[in-house]
Order: sequence, then C-alpha cells, then structure tokens
Amino acid sequence: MKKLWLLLSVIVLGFALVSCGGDDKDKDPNPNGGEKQLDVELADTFKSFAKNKEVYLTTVGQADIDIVQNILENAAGLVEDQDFIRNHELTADQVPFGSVVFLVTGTSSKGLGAASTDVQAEKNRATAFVNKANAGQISIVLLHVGGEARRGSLTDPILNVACPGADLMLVVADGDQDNLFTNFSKNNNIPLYLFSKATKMVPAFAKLFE
Amino acid sequence: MKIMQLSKKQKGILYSSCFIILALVITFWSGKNFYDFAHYETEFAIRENVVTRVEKFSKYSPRLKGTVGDSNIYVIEGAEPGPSILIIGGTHPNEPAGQVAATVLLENLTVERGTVYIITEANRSAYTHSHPQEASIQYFGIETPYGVRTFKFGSRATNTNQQWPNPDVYVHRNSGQKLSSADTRNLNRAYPGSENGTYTERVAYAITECIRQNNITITIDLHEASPEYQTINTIVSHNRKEALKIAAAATLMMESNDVSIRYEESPLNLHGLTHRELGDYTDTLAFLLETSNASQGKIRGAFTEELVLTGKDKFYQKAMEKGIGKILYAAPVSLDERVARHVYGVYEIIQAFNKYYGTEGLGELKVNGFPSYQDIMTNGVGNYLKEIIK
Amino acid sequence: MFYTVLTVIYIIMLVAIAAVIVWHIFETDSFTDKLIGAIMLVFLILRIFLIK
Repeated sequence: MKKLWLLLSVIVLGFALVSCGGDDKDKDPNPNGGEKQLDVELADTFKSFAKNKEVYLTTVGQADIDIVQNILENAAGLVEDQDFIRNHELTADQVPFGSVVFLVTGTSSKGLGAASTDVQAEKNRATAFVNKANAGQISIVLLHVGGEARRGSLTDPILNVACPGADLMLVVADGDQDNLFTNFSKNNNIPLYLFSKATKMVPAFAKLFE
Repeated sequence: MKIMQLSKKQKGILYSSCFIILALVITFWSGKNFYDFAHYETEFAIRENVVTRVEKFSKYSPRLKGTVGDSNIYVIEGAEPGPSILIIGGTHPNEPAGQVAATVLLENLTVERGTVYIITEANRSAYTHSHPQEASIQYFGIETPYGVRTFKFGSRATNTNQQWPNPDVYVHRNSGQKLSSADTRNLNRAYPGSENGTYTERVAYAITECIRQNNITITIDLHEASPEYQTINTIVSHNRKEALKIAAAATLMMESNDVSIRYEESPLNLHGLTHRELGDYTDTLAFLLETSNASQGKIRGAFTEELVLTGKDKFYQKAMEKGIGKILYAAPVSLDERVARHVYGVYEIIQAFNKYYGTEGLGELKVNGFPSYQDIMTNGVGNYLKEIIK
Repeated sequence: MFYTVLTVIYIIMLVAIAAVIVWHIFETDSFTDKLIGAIMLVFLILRIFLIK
C-alpha cells in the first residue's frame, strides 16, 4: 500500500514538472479541441511566425511540395527565390540560424515520385532538420496534405522521425485517421491543426506571414 | 438405315462426323461474333461546323496507313492562333472513361483561341479484341436523348494479329528498361515510339510526332485503374517545373470544389509512359489522369455492363466493409463520375496553364463548352453525347 | 516479310495439327477423345483464320 501511494505521488509530481516551465510560446497542443475540430483558425501566437525570416520549402518523402508551394504563393503572396527557397533535396546544413523550414511530408505509396524515394535518405534528412530544430537553431512547420493516400509503410517511418521536431503541424485530417499526428501532438506538446482539405490551410499560411 | 443396325465402325464414323459438325457450328458462331466485334466501328458525332479537320495517325507514322491502327485525330482550331492541347482517349480500351471523356470533349468543346487535338481511339488494334480469360463484355451502351450510344470494351494491349511474335522480355527501345512481355503490346509503355519498330511502337510514334510537329503545348492522357491501385484519382505530371505547377494548381482547385484528387510526379525510372516520355522527348507539358474502374479490379465478381456503367460490385462492397485491400476511394464509382472527373481535370489543367503562363509565349488557350462536373453527375454523361447524323 | 513468313509457317502447323486431330476423332473409339478433339478443333480453326 505504501509503495502504491509512493508510486502515485511520483506520477503526480512527474506531471507537475512536465506542466511547469515551458518556453516563450504559449502552445496549445490541442487547438482542435477534445473532438477533432477541423479548419480552426491558427492561434495568434503564430501570427507572423515566418515573417521577416529566411523561409525554406522542402520535402521529406518527395511528394506534394508543389501543392504547398502553391498555397504559400497564393496565401502569402510569396515569390520563389525572392521570399522563400524551394529545394526538394534541402539538407539541414544549408539552412542558416533562425530560418523557418516548411517540411512537407508524404511519400507516394506506389513508389512514384522523383527518382523513386529512398526512404532511409529521407529519414536521415528529416533527422538532421529535427536535430537542428531541437537545438533551437531553426523552426519547423510540418505539413501533411496528401491524406490517407500519403500514409503507409514508406511515409510513416519518416513521420516518426520528423513530427517530434516540429514547432507546428498543419495536416489534412484524412491523413490522421489513426491519430498518428494527434498522438505526436499530445506526446510532444506540438500544436496540431487539422484541415478538411489542403485549400483550407490558406488562412493559416496567410497568418504565418501576416 | 437405323442407327442400331450400323456396324461399330459405321457408328464411329457417324459420331465423329456429328462432333466435327458441332465443332464447325460452334466455330462459325463464335468466329462470327469475334469477327463482328473486331470490325465494329464506334461512331462519334463530328460537328462539321466545329471540327476543322480529321487527320490520321499515318500522317505522322506512314507505315500505319491502311492498317487497323490508323486512328483519327480530330482537330478543332480556334479563330485565333494560340497554344494547343492534345487529349488522348482509348489508349487502353478496357478503361472506358478515357474514351468516353474524350468523346464528350470532342462533341462539346468549341475553341476561341488556340487548337484542340482529340484522339478517341489511341490504340485501335486493342479495340479489335478483348483480354483472354477476363470474360469481359464486348460492348456497353450509354443512354442519350437520341437513343443508346454503343461503345466497345476492348483489351489493354495491341491485338497479336497486328503484333506477333513478342519477346518474353520487353526491352524499352530508348531506355533499355526491361518489363514483362505483356507490356510489349501496351501503348503506354511504348513511347516515344519508333517509326519502324513494333506495331505498338509505330502507333506511339504517330502520337509523339503529332505532338512534335504541331508543337502541342499540353498533352493529357486519360486512363483508369482498379480500385485497389494506389494511383487512382490522380494527376500524374511530368517533372518539368511548369507541369508540376499546373498539376498542383489543378489539384487544389478540384479539391476545393470537393472533387478528391491528388497529384504525383512521373517517376524518372519508369519508361515508356506518356507522362515520362512525351515530356522528355517533346516540349509538351505531359499529364496523365487516372480514375477508379471496378471492372479492372481483381476483387470483382461477374463482368457485366452494369459493372462498367455503375461500378457496383458486391465483392468490392464486402472487401471495403472488411477492410480487405487498401481501397482509398469508396466504391461504387459510376462511369458518370469517372468521366466527370476526367472532363473537369482537363478543364482545370487548362485554367491553371492560362493562370500561370497565359500572359507569356503563345498566350491563353481559350476553350469553351466543358460540361461541369456537377452537370455530368446530375444529368448523366449520356446527356452530353450528341446525336450522330449520318 | 519475316513476320509474314513466320505467320505462314504458323498457319501451316495449325492446319497440320487440325488434320491430325480430325483423323484421330475418326480413328479413336473413345467418346471422350472425340469430344476433346472437337473442342480443340474450334480453337484451331479460329486461329487458322486469325480470328480472336
């Protein structure tokens, strides 16, 4: 009985420690609410998150980068090479301190995609980005816009590496049917915004550059 | 002479003769059926005041002249010159939405500026037979205000009557890629083709040369695949930056209008396909559209006209309920929906091209008369097939 | 030319096989053999006329 009370106390103290402190961002890990709410407006803490910073657009998984680029250009009026650098093989060492990296995740489950994706190479790239983000050198906005079709044995190993390092996750809800992103969000205290479709992300992108 | 009075030898001759006569009757009956199917000509409504001219494949690949594979290319020129688009239907005659969508476009579009090229039967040889052991239907009919329009349901591959013998391993001429023998007769593995190559390569060569000689700006190849195939409801785009930009924009627009679709880049190491080779060997912006066709799937039951038209199949229903096979998009998917997707996909690709590249080079491609996705879904594709006036 | 020659050889082979099968249908006493021979004849004749 004594041991049980001791264990319970340790657990409660552990929770207390985890919920203390934090950083200068007021993160809401579950802005979608208890139920999965979709198309929720981005919190004000992310207003101008990427403004006046060096912005990079890349993919880990070699899919959907053009979709996100389209949203970036239309939502925020950005121009490639002037306002952001697009490079589908970008490596972490090419990204200077203070940059914001838009990391597009998702792999074709049929192995389609530029040069047939090398999953290990993509994982290595993702790991490098995450390490740099965890060291506080860059920020990562992680995107998954392809839905259920962009999940599976090729994509998920990359997500397992990339998600914990994100500062913000913008995901089309169809890709979170198994709550992979929701669980990453909860377990790593990362804000996750779910959208009914990719075009619904436009206001979020606009706010990031407002 | 009664049979019982015949000797054993005479009875043997009688029975043998009966069997041979029966064999000849069956041969004649089935042979006539196959022959009629092979020679049946699908009709298309050619609007004489709209279609500028009809070219033949043999204009670009002379050895096809006088053969079954010498297909038509319907050309609709606008009043003003401008960019051009080629829409390819009927590459795989077991993928009906490709041909029917091309037919809808042929029979409805008008061109203000630029040129539209439409092929409704890209591989006519493949329309002369069906795939062995599939027990597929031969024809399917679409109800229109003018009666039933009959289309053929053919094979994925060129008829061996036009191309035989075939090697056990198909080596793609330009890349050296090795594929199964079955792909030797697959038009969508034969690009860019060869003037003096196999029959299928000559057909591919005709299409490639048409694009090259006419400097066609955009090429869209219309296809279908089984519901369990992972690349359905997809725009596959050549890797050229402009093509990817257009594909992404078209995808987003379609998605924003609740037509679920995604895009894929053409894999660099899979050769012979339109989205790979036409983009590599010509200046065209190459795209391929895929929709979901239950009649191509392996889970399906009986192969009926209803299956082709409605996509309804009890075995696919059971598979989805039990979560067997990763079927991404809920069946059944009717022919109306598949054709609507293709037609809408072509429309959005043109809109995206005009948005990003309409102010440079040849300017905008102005094409009108697209039935909307919603209209086709509501009214049925038959409503957009015109009367054939003989 | 090569393919034409090959096709002609192919058809000649089919005609020869069909002839043997017809002979066998008359020659055999087995009902089953006669039936199988008749079925094979259907396919062979269709192939001889290149109908598929």
